[in-house]
Amino acid sequence: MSIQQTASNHEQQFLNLPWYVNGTLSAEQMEAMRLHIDGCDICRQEVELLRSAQSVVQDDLAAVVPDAGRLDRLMEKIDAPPRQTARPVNPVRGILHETRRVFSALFENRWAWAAVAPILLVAVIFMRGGDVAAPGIDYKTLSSGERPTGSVLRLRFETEAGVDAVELLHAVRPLSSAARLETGADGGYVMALPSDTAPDRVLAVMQFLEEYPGVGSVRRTSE
Amino acid sequence: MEGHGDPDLALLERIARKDKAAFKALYRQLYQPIYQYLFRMLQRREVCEELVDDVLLTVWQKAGDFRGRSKVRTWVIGIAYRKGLKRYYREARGPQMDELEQHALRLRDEEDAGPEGRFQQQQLGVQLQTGLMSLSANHRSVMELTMLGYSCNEIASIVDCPVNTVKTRMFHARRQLREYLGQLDPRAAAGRGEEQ
Repeated sequence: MSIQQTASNHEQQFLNLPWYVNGTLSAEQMEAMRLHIDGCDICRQEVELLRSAQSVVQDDLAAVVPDAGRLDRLMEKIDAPPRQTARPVNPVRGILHETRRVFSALFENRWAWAAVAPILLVAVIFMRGGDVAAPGIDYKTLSSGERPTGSVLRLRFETEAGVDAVELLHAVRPLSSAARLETGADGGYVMALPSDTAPDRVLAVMQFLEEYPGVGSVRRTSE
Repeated sequence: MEGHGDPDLALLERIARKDKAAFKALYRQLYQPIYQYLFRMLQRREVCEELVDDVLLTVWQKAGDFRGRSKVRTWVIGIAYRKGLKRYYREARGPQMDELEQHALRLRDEEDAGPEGRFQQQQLGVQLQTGLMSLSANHRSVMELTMLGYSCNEIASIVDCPVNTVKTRMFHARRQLREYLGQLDPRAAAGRGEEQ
């Protein structure tokens, strides 16, 4: 195994350690993890820390039994007829309630929402003259469904002093394992992603960067 | 993730048909895991008891909406997560953090705390507890659900986000926890955080 492959394997295993500790990885993953941990001091130390955290959480779990009357009271609540409101109906409140009810029904029904969403999107594009750019994110390019044409896709951003770029790159890796960080010509940074990165993944990286403390707005560049 | 072989599924199907005996059985089965999860989040007995009832009442009302995309228990803990989070943000968390930190300081200062190993273990436990409390609600939830034995996919389903987001949140939670422990004990952090 090359040094790069070993490093990438370590990163992958390091990310999955918590689920190794709680025993929910597949048998195959557990075995691979066991082999990796045998030869990796960093992961061994991390396992110790995670096991300590696990015992802290689990020690806190006293066995609880609901008191006898609790379930009876809940059953009474279930059996009680729905409460009628005696107050006169306020027309404005009624309209708001009805609007909320329709929207809740839409959100609960995935298919209805899927049917309405494109109509709303077209309406927004129409109202905004075709420009749906949000501050700092070039949604227009992403929502067109086009893949970037160059060999890499670049996301340009600036950071406040004190932001550790290497740590930032490490944090982005779960979203795009092939992400690279370059220094931009203007002193900012450029996150380079492979050109075949799926648009929703690019969007996820952009949103992640935008939410990262100390990172300013993120723009896709054509370089 | 599917409901095949899920022992709670048959009960939920009966609850959807308003079978009260099935509801009582599910209540007894799920009271403890829901309570324990909420107690980790909120640390207040009365509030948690009240919320468990609220969660199970929602299960009674919405059982027919369950689509079988996850285990029943995962779906129910998802309801508990959303209700717990709402309560978490509504309630002031300050005093409890202070109490835990005070306790950590008392332990550190205590000279007659028994054998050193036990003392250190106890101290690490309290530090981890305060460290967990210092995490943001989203990071803490992912960390605690993992420690309660949920898989990455189940957590994604509970907190309603992609699996990669769960991994990212967990990554940040672990880093912040190590940093927190490092601030309390720089010597220990030097050993623990060399890879950082």
